[in-house]
Amino acid sequence: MMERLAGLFSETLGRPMPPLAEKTAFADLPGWDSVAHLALLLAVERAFGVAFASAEMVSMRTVGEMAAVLRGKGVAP
Amino acid sequence: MKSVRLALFADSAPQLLERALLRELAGRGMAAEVRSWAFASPLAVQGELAAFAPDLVLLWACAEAERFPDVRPVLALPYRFLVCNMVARDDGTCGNLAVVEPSTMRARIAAWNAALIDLARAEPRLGVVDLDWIQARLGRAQTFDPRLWEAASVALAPAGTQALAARIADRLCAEQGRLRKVLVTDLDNTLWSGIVSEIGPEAIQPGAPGRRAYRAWLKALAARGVFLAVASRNDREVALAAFRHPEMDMAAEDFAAFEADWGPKSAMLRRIAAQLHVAEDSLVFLDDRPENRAEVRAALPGVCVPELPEDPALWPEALAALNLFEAVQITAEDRGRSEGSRAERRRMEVAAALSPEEYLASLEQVLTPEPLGPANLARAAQLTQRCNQFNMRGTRHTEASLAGRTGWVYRLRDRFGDLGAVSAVVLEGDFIETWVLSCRALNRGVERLVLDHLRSLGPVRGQYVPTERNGRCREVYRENGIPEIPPEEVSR
Repeated sequence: MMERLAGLFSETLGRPMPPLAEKTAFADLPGWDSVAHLALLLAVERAFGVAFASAEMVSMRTVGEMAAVLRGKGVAP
Repeated sequence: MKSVRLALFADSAPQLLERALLRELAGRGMAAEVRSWAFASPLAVQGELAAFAPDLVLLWACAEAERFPDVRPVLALPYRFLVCNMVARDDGTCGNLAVVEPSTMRARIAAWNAALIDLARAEPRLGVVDLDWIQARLGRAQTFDPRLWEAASVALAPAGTQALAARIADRLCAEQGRLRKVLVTDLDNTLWSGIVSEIGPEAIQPGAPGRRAYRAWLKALAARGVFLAVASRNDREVALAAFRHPEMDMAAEDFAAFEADWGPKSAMLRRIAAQLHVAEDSLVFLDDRPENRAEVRAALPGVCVPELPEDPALWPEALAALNLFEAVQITAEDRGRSEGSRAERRRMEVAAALSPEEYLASLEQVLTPEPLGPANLARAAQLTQRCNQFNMRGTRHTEASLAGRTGWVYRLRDRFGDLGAVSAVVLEGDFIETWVLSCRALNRGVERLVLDHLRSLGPVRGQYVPTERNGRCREVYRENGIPEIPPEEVSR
């Protein structure tokens, strides 16, 4: 899952990503801002075929939090 | 190229639209600078706005914010404005009554949009972007994502944002004179179903699915001032014969240019552009055959060549979605353009087929006199300034010199159309001080109709004063039995 996320992030943000860790905060990703965050969430939704709830959209701050939400929606780790 | 400066005012998060706009404009080779103000009125940031010096101010009040701002006070600022209308929205609290009951969201949106239209009609500096139509076309689910609205005040989902940016860019391009002026259409399996050179003009199917709607779209384009043209690989005579099919609801004369031969389509398009005095990049080319589209795209990269769905029934919707013919304004001249040229072509055809007497009789001309007055003074003055060949005494008038004078303006129409005001007369008692007749109305016996009208009111006297170019009206009074004053007797 982490590799797929890294690929999606670099595609959406338009630049290569450093290695992602569970504790990596979205705000620390290169090229990140609040609008990019939304684009990123929508790209992850499309790629994994899931839908985030609005509360999840605002609560996820780190890669690990996102991975946990995805696992909760049945995405394989 | 000069960069376009856009100020964007939104009562939702504007960043997605700002980015989409920059991308869309860059894709069209337009340099742009966009500055956004969220949740602010232009009136509140006048200093910042003046410093930015925008070419255009974009106002986007979204239906979700439920603010319904008054646009009128903003117009006091000295900019040009583009305002998005609001998308239809209903909260389902009172069912169908929402359309009628004035307090509902649905009714308030409709009223705000109606007021915006009134404002745009009255104020030339204000244009409207039809965001509501974007939602109607894409569907509510594609344009509104409630999660994005709740999480980040984003009022327009990505697909809708993209469409809105394209629509705004269309308008900006049109304002910069990047307009499409001519629609060039193929004939076989495009304007009708079938290949006329193989099956004959009687066997084509103008009523096959989609064809009638396609032609209706062409006619609507012509009515608003877009030139229509034909580029067809056919023998010209065979192509023309197909227009005589009983189910055919367009005439060859509906097309301002008609190219039919066996050469490449790109060569036909070049000739059409030259003939209509337009640049190649103002042409749109529609053809059912992908190889023809590819040939034109390769040879003339400036020409717009849309892909078309396989099924012609789907064409009108697909073409409408492309917004190919953005217009900044539509003038009376635009509306009259195709009508005037078409009527004139029909007159010429009829004239060629008949003797001059038969032609005149067939025109069913009606000449309507109007007393000279404030409503027609400008046109009467213009007629005296423009008419040289038929200007009985070489007189020229201005609105001021015509004010308070007695006289007549004559409007002409015939079975092909309205020619407008074609003649003006100024009277001094029974003396015809001025008489002019437009070139468009020469050789149609209008002279006699004017004199018959004047005579019906009482005896008149005329005078011919030769000028360099008015030789053709030398004999008109004599031929019609009007008493003449010798040229030297009345000073000009």
